[in-house]
Amino acid sequence: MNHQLFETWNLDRTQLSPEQQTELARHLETCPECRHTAAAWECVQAEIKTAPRVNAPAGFSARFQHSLAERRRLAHYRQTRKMLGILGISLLVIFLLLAASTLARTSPAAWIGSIIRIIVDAPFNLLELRFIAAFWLAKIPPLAWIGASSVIAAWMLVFTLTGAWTYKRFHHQGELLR
Amino acid sequence: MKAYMKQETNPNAERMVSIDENELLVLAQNGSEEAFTQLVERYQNPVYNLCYRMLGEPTEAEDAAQESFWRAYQAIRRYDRSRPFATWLLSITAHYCIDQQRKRRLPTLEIEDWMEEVLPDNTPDPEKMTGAREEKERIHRMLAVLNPQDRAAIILRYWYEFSEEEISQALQLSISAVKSRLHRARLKFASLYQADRKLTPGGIHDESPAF
Repeated sequence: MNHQLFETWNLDRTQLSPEQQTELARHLETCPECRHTAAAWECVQAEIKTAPRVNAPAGFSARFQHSLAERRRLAHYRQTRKMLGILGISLLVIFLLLAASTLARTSPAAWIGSIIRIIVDAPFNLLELRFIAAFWLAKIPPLAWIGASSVIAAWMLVFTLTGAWTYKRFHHQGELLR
Repeated sequence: MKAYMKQETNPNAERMVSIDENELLVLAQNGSEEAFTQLVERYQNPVYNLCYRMLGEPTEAEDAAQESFWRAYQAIRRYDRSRPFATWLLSITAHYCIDQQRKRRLPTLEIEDWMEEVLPDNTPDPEKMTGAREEKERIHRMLAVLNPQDRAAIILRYWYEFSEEEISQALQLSISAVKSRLHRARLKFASLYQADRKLTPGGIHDESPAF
């Protein structure tokens, strides 16, 4: 039988059959190298068994608890920063897409011209808007005012609650990092 | 592992012995920080010991143990309660320590370095020669020679009494890979021990192993 196999058996006899153990014992009688290895390994095992278990230093779990609070705070901060980053990047992408599509359709000269026109005409346009708004608002009956106010208030409430829920959800995710 | 877990002597662990571990795990999975802290108290010694054996330095071992518990805290919801918690936790710890050693390129001593370290010191220091300390240092040095994964395998096998299957699960290796790593580590340990005994007074004893 080859030496390699005996070397393997020699260092782990836990799964050897009685026949294999006898074969190994016979091999050890004739092979000083394996005998030395076996003796050394026996000694190492004995040293491992007597090696002391190293316990955690005092206050380990208290330090963990303290660090847990700090790590969670950092995790919240990272999660909020991530959320704001995603929001910012999304807005930037939308703005860039709109800008690109507008620039693709008009020349830069026309663009600059229209911006100047908007600035110059702004006071006159605002005045016109004020007249139009005043004209139509005067035509709204008082009951419709109440209805419109209610719709706006309800919409604002829904908006606020959705915002608060989203924040809470992100906050919770940051807390658990999941 | 089982024997080591039974050796838990932390007084806080005794106080909490009435609380079933499963109950603690359910609470921890539902986000209870207190329940997780109790688990930390129960498992701090085995986790710390593994880090210490892997990294060889108390400060680094504590940092690694703290980080391992933090990782376990982050992943506790994904923990499958059909598996033993200790195996899961020590698996996280072993992986973290292996990564740390790879990142920091911590000393995995070469055989030549080992030989230099075990060469007898010329300056007489009788206290240094005390048996227990010598043995402790020898084990320490022998572990340092192994590569991180072999080291983790041998520590889990002989300090925690993990079976080969448990080691394969913990280190995400095949059983044959675990067997070959353990064999390599045993062989290296035996040869280092022989080298050490040849270099120290008394030399190696040619003793036949007891069957």
